[in-house]
Amino acid sequence: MNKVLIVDDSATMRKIITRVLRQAEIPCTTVLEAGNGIEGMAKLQSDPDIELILSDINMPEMNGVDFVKAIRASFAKEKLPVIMVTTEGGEAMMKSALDLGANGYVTKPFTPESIRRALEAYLG
Amino acid sequence: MAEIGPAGPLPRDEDLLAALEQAVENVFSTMVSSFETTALFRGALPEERVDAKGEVDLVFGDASGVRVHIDREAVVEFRGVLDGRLALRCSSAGALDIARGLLMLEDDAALAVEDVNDALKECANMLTGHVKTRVLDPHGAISMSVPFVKGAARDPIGPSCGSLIYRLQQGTISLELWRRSAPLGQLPV
Repeated sequence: MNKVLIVDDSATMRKIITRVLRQAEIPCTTVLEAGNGIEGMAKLQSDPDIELILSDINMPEMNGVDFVKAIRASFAKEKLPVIMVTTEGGEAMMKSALDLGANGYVTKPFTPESIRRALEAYLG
Repeated sequence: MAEIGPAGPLPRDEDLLAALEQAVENVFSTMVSSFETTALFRGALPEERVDAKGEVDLVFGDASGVRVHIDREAVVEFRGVLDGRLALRCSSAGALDIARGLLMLEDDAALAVEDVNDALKECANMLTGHVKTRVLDPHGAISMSVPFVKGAARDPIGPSCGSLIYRLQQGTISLELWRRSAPLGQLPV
């Protein structure tokens, strides 16, 4: 896997996910970051090499559900996997994201193992 | 007498506190290293031991004590079948402990205030999500606000469900659950 995009309004959570990707030995060469769905769409448009997205759901400006909707208007589910990363308690929004084309989800708190399990199918 | 929701009696304070205790065990043992997950104190704080700022000065039966110094708190509001608030309250040293633990940094690593606040918000969010899923969701619809940080000032919004106090490496934290007496307007989003 070449590039992974992490979308989360919490800079701390972006750092944690980046660290856990390394600990889980996910073979990605570059990790890109965005603070919400709008920034995420801009990254996607400027970088065609992004191969997987990990996105929070509850974000300002454009939340994860709307972000998935925007992605699926341009990218098919099998071409660009989107894994939602969400806190327990956000099940209703998570279901909406899955209905709109998210490929899977990970619940916080997560471990390197749970991240790896969620991404396993997309590691090639 | 227990309050009744659409799916029967609403959770009692004891149920909420037990779920919060379980949430601490789950969240902190998974994501925050070097954290003692056995509470130093559990239950209703004696009012005479809490000052206006929310700082707690407890003395235990064996004459040992703990002073919970509070500099800031991360809050998540919840609304629906039950309205209330979870507050994670801590000293600056405790906040740094949590942030360094989440980010797996050295004990003396420097961090920006935004990173520390971010870490507290993430913790409050995960803890509230756990409580919501375990004991509130079964009773009906409930929504959570985005977490926010505010300065330390005890701000009772209604009756307290109880507190949990934990010792960190360099500080203490107090977790408090409250039931809201008056309805909250728009949830902070």
